[in-house]
Formats: sequence, C-alpha cells, structure tokens
Amino acid sequence: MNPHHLHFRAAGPQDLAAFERIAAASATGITTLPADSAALRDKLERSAQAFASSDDSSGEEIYLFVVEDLGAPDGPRVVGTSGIAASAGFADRFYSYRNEMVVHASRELATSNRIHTLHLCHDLTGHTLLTSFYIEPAYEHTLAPQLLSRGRLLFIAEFPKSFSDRIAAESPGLSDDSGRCPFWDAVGRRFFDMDYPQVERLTGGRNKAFIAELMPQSPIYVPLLPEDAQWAIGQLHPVGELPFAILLDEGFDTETYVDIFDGGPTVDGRVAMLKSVAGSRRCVLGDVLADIPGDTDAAGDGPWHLISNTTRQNFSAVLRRAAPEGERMTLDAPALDRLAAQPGQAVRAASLDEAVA
Amino acid sequence: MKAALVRPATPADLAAVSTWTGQTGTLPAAADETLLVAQAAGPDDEPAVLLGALRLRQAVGMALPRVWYHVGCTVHAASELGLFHRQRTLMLGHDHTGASELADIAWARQDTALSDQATTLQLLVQAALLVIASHRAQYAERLITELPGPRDSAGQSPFWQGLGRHFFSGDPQAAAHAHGPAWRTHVSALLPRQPVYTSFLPASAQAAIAQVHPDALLLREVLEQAGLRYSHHVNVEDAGPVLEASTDDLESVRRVRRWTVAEAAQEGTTVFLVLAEGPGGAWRVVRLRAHAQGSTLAVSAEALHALGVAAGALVWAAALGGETG
Repeated sequence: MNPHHLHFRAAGPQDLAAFERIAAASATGITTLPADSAALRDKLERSAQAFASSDDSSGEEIYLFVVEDLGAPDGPRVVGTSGIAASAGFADRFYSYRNEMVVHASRELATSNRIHTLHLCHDLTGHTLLTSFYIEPAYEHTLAPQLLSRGRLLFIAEFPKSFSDRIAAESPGLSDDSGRCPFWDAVGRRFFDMDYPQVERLTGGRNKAFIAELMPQSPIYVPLLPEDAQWAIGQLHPVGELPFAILLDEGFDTETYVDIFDGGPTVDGRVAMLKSVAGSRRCVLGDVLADIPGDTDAAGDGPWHLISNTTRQNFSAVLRRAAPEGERMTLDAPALDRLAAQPGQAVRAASLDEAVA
Repeated sequence: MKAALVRPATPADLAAVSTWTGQTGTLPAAADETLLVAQAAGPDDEPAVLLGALRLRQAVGMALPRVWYHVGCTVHAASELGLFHRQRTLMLGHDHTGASELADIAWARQDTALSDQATTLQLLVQAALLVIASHRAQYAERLITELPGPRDSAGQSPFWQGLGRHFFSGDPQAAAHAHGPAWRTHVSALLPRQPVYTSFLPASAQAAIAQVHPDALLLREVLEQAGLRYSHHVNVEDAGPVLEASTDDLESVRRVRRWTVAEAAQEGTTVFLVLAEGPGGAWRVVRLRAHAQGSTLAVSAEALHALGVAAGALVWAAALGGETG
C-alpha cells in the first residue's frame, strides 16, 4: 500500500454502498453507523448538506468522511470512514458519567476513605463529537487510520466557526461476542430488563438522552458494583484501540468521562490544544513538482504531512512528505488534482510524528 | 413472674440490667434521660426481682447527631418502552432529630414464659407513655424506637456486609464497643451522602432492610399495639426499622388524666395504670384495679400501699383499654 494513493475526502451520496459495507462489517462499536440503508442514506444527505452550507452552524450538522485507496488492486476503494457531529446531544442533552473521587473521613474513627463515584452529567452537551471511525483491518497498520482520524481535525481547524471549541469522542466499552457487557449488567440492566444489544437497537439513530433519563440520577458508588463491572469502567473494547490511541496522541484526556451504557472511555479536550490543530499551518502552493512520488520506502523530503485543501464542499486531504517548516509548499500533480488546488492557493498542513508514521 | 411495678432505676439495679443487655448498664448520664425498670410483685422485705428496663429520652440527636437511612422510592417509567421500575433508595439523614425515644429496651427472657415477657414489655412501654403524658411539655411531638435488624450467629449484619463495609473497613462491633452509641454518628461521616439505589446491594442486604431481629419480634408487636409504626426509616448499621408515632396520637398518652385517689373497701373492676409521685421527685407506676367516679379514682388499701401515697393524693392515670391485669 502506497500512502501517496490515500485520499481523504468529504463523503457523498455516491459512497452509500461503501457505508453499507462498513456498517455491516462493524458489528461492534459504531452506533453512529447503523446497518440500515435508509438511515445511512439520510446521514449521507445530511452530511452533504452540511458541507455545502456556509450558513452559521445550527449544531445539528454531521460531517462524514472517507479514505479511499486510489491504488487498490481492483481499482479505487473506500477503506475507512470517519465523522464529526457539530454539537453533541444537539437539541437534547448528551449524557455521560463523570468520574469523581469523594473522600469520606472520620476523625473519631481515625480513618478516611477515598471513594470512586460516577455522576450522571451533561458536561459534554454542545461539544463537537468525533464519530463513525472505521478502518478496514487490512489497512490498520498503514498510515490510512492516521489520515482518516486526523484529517477531520484539519477540517475543524479550517472551519472553527462550525464547531465548538471543545471536543469529545466516545469509544466502545467492554462487551463479549454474545453482547454481554459487564458495566451494563451491573448498572443499566437494573433499570431496564434488556440486554445491551437490545438497548443499542432501541437507541439506534435516536438520541440516547431518551434512555438516559431512565438511569439513576444520583451518583453511583463504584465500590457497590460487582468487580467485573468496576474493572470495566473506562476500559476499551479491543476494536477501539487504534482510533483511541490516535486520539490520545492528539492530546485528548481520558480520565474524566465514561459512557453511561457500556462504561467505555469518552475522551475530551480543547480543539485548540489538539496536536493536529495546534500544529497545523497554512501554506501557499508553489509550482507543481515534476516528480511523481514513489512508494512508502522512498526517502522523501522531510516528515510525513497531512495536507488538506481549504474548501468546505470538496474538502480533501492527502499524505505527503514535506519540509517541516515554511510557508510555501510544493506538491506533485496528483496531489494537486486530489486537493483540487492550484499553485498560489492555500493549503493546510500538519506533520505526523515520526513515531506514528 | 408478672411485672407489677415500674420505677426509676437506682445504681443497685444496674447489675441486673446489664445481664439482659450484655453491656454495662449506666444510669442516665444525660439530664434528659430516665432509665425505667419493671419489677415483679413481691413482699416488701425481699429484694425486688427485676424483669425489664427502658431508657426514655426526651430528645434525640440534639448533642450528638443521630443518623438513619430514609427508605424512599423512585419510579423509572417509560410507557413507550413498556418500562415501569419501582426502585427503593436509601438516603442518609437526621430526620428524627429532636424526637423523643424509647431506647435500650431490655428484659429477662431466660426461663420466662413468652406471655410474661409480653406483660413486662407492655407495662414498660405503657409506663413510659404515662411518664411522657404526665410531663408532656418535656417530650417531643414525635416518638421513636429503634429495633435491631437481622444478624447472623457471629453478630454480622447482612446489611452492613452489603453496604456499610464498603465505606468503613473496620469491624463495626469493635468500633461500637470502643465508642459506644456515638459510633454510629462517627461512622455516618464515612457513609454515602447521596441516595443509594438498593438494587445495587446484594440480595441478602436488600432483604434485611426494615426486618426485625427474631429476638425483637415480641417487642415489635408490643410497640405496634401501643400505636408505633414503621414509617420508612432504618438504622444505618443493620437496617432494623425505626418505629414512630405522633406522641399525642397515642391512645395511652391521650387518655391520661389527673385524678385524686381515694380508698375504697373493694377493688374496682377497671384496670388502670397509675403514676404516683412521692417526695423528692420519686415516682412509680403501678397497674391496679380501680373504680373511677368523676375525677376520683377509688382503689383498695393494698393498692394505695403499692402506690406509696395516701388517700387524697393527686396521680396521673389512664384506664388500660381491653387489657386485664
């Protein structure tokens, strides 16, 4: 796989088949991509409208992206998806459990006790939410997931007015193949006689606030939960490890919030502090490079960079090796073609760590 | 052996009291407490046989805060999902602060018929209510009694095992021994301040809530006969129920009146509980048969002797409805 062939771009109605394929493949984890053609078509239409509109953000917008491998053996193929919801819990509340420690102390009994509690909260309501991440297993160990996850941050950096200055992302919590979820069994199930997958189906496409209102409103004293449920708090389902690692590298914080259903970690942060946002810069395109870049191993000219165009409707990004500094950037003809950009126009660039690349 | 008399305890009584409670009996330390003892009828020149004791408190939790869990209910319902869940909650609080209390009720059980135990308990409880009625202004609007909850043979409470232990890892019995009744106040600083859904507790702990230790079932029955009721509070240690009442709603308080005693040739036909005051604030409560006429209570010479007063003395008394001596 040659990273030069990867193309990150705004998804459109033409990607429905790819989204259907991915929704079916991702049995666990992406509740924002239901395996339901009508719902997916609706989401793609909403996304296309959001990209097309330069109106002030209402918060309702969702943005879906794909990474396409233009060099795939059988022709161009969408190999991953990612998304952004402009405002978490739009028009309703976005529920999370917030980890809090309380210390109870008695001088007379000469003892104090640090107790982990979970508080149902709306803290993340209105945060921008990263959603819908999926990468085909064959591409997990390439640069594709980096482009897929961080490319959307360049979009946010370019169009900050469409988003909150705070951002969050949910990750799937622990559950087994039969859908048994220790956190749900210890908490949610006491309030709904339902298995976790059943609840996910119920909430599929709907705002989770509907269910959250039925959860206990007072804090949960974690020591009262069974051990496997205690252990599951903030634990990640293995399918979420790759996107989670990218978010942590970006600087998201994972200490504060967990999902109210499965106890999976919900990361949060300030947009301006994220590595790909803070480290991104605008450059002006120089003359077209004569050379067409070769394969991965080719000694390039500097570290790998995410390079995006600055247009809303046809937002695109590619991976190229480039000089780490400087306000000028020269790109090869295929890159300019994918970015639909001309010499003299602006692009946004952010470098990838060597460790990541 | 049947109880015949209730009076304030003296230091000489404490040894007997401590054999029932398993603890060292202490005379009231606080000014607002009275320790009542019930004793059997017997010749004056023989030492009294004690049958039971009760500590009457004017107001609880005014110096040392007292805590209880309020057992509440919250409903989680969603008609569109066909869900209706009733959840019990426990909320730590000081709800009964200021109430009067019938506390530390202890009585002789060994070699004592259950019916005789019941008589002793009835006499103790009725006498306490008579004391309250005769000094009504000193006692509160509400009256409570704590009953012990279930424990295993080692003294472990399933409720504590399911809840308290997660918040205080020490041994509650050792702490209770070291700190006395104040230990519950101390431990309350460690207990959950937010409502706890009981469904998070093990089944054994849930089942123990508001249950009475088998040893206290008779006492519960006697207190309920007197008009006290469980109304959704339990103690924080073993979840034994708090029985409570509005003091003035209790028949045994409401019916108490001031009478003048007179000597009659014959014993009356109605059973009365009579509180007679002697010199220096001494008092005793005697169950006797009397004949009531106007505001005069005619009793036998023997009864006058038992009361320790002369004809013409003022007493507090009420007829015991439905009971026979």
